[in-house]
Amino acid sequence: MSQFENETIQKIYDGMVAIENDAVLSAVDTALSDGLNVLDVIDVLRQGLKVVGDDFDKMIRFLPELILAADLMQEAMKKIEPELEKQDITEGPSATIVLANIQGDIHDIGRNILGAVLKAAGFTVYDLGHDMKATAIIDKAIAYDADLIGLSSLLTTSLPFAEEVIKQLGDRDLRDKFKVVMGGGAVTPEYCEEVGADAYGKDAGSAVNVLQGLL
Amino acid sequence: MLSIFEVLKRADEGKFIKESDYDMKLFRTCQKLVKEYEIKFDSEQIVVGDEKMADAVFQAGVKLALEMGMYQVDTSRVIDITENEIKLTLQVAPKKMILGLGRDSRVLRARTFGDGHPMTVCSGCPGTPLPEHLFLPVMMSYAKEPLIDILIPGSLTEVDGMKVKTGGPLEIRATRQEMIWVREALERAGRPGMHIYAAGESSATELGTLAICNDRYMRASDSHMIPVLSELKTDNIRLSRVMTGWDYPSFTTSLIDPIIGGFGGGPEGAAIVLTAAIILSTAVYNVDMHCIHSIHNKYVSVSTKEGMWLNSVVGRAFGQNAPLALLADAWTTAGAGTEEILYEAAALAIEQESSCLHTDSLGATNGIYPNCSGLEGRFFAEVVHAVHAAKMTPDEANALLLKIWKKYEHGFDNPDIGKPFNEVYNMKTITPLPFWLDMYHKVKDDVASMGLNFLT
Ligand code: B12
Repeated sequence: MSQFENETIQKIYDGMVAIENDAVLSAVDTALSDGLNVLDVIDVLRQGLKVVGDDFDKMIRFLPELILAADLMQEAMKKIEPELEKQDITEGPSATIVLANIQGDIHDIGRNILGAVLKAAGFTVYDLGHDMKATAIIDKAIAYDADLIGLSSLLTTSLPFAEEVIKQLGDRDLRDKFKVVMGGGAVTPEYCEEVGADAYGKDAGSAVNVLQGLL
Repeated sequence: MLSIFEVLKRADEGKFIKESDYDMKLFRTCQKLVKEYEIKFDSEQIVVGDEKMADAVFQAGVKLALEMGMYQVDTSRVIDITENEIKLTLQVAPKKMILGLGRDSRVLRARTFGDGHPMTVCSGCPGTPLPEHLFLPVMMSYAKEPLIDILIPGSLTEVDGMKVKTGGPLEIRATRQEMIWVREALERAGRPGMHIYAAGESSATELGTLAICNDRYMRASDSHMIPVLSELKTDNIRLSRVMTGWDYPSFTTSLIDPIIGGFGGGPEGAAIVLTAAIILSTAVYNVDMHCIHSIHNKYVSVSTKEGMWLNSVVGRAFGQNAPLALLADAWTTAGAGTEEILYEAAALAIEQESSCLHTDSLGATNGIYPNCSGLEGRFFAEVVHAVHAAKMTPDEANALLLKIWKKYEHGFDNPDIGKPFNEVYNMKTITPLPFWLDMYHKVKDDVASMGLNFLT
């Protein structure tokens, strides 16, 4: 059953829901060359992605599908961005975040979910992986010209390394350059306040709002 | 079982694959196997009695183990195993172990249906971060409970007022201090020979585990833990723990956390992943027993319907096909001092006792807050023994579980994490405070009124 009048828009939606890269990307090409409204194109991509996200919440679809759909969204956006620039339209939070599990911590499931959800919400995400040292995290944040540093910590005994990130940002005169947000089971809002992080994220869903609030 | 040297060789020389490609291959393979073997989660049939489906999960798990092997993330290579190696592994895996020493020792069996033995009850606060002042009293509260057979420690996150950092010198000190205090707790409770399960919980790397390989800390009669990284992966640190266990005589246990909603897919795919992980870790890690811990990707808790079903079907799969000593985690959303944790405990105890499993302890608040105590461990054990004595069929156990489920299902979205140990127990006498004891009696009466005859 089609819910969109325009056939190309319908194709983008169906392809996104089914996470079919070729179908979506070629339909986006068609949409752009046909001169469809870029904001409509972005909107339908989001609608399709939302179906995948909702299915993930209901456990109808799973983490790998969420990751694939978020990656597809980013690829489609890459095609759309030059058009946005041409038309001088600013769209969504074009912020960049580096994400990492800090030194000693290999718990990566939450970070994987978070990365996918943030990508889907339009953030540029650099996932640095797990067991990352403070210096390396900051160096990467500089290299990627990030706006945000997201630290995931599930181990209480790795938390001192998260504090080290904030301390080192101060020591390197970089504290104002990045907003630092923390999450994961070992972190609490009180802890974030105590160590001077900019925000706390309870779960991936609420993290989007928290991060947007920081920008 | 493979020799550690053979494992290391395969980890260096096995086929190369990028980690993300391995993950996606796992997902696709699981999806295929779920369809092929017609495995189906049923939210109304949590205690699984379907023998055919359990067999299917077992066969699919063997296929997955053969197809995927175990992935070594530090070398990006696959440690493959053959069908014959799987057969031999399952054949020689221990079927009966004496854990602990002297009069405090207990038998841990690879359970089979109808073998006439109840589970071995492990209790404690697995890996839960505990401050120094709570560590000893919390451990004593478990050691004092007669129905608790073996004990699992929490982790010590500070030493002499200093924060412990993973992989640093304080990890050594913390892990040793953990063992000294657990032993003291056992001695003070008059149970000096009790088995310490997963000794060295304060160690997140290999350092702490190595540091306790000495009779003063971890004895041959204790066990230490070697996690499998989710899903079906390992690394140098975990393999260093395998090497540690190679020529140190204590027992070893795996820790396997299949993620429901993760790379295995839903509960059905996660069941296949868990089965494969049990097989692979028996072969590659050479462990004597397994800690299985299903993770709900939204709520974490094992007390979700998906989590309990997963444990149950995999417990039955091994009970019917290849008995191994499986200790299932029983992690709850709620914490000590709430009615909910007791209902969650009851549901988990029913499910595990009816599914050829042992327990690796309740984990209050999913192991995050020190809101735990021996009393909920006592209640769990009482339910286990009542269920065993009643010789319930899977359907009877399931019907009771579903009644209990209604008493705590509201807690997932809005958890009541309860109170820390020092607010539910008297810190001098290490006994439950009156309000907590009253709550326990109230819930016990309620569960009894649902049809469970407690022995005491
Ligand atoms: C799964 C798991 C494992 C798996 C990890 C698999 C993997 N690839 O990730 C395995 C088995 C390998 C494992 C190993 C260990 N684990 Co573990 N593990 C867990 C468990 C049960 C669930 C974690 C999980 O995946 N949750 C599901 C995801 C979806 O949720 P999440 O991670 O919380 O993420 C969400 C939010 O928190 C948020 N979020 C997360 N990060 C961030 C970051 C930002 C910036 C924001 C905004 C939001 C955000 O968004 C996510 C999505 O909604 C937790 C218990 C718990 N309550 O968390 C213990 C737990 C974290 N582990 C623990 C321990 C002790 C260990 C071991 C030391 C065990 C041992 N004896 O060896 C090792 C340590 C390994 C290491 N060095 O890191 C302890 C830590 C205690 C502490 N506070 O220090 C816990 C709490 C359990 C316990 N009590 O034992 N573990």
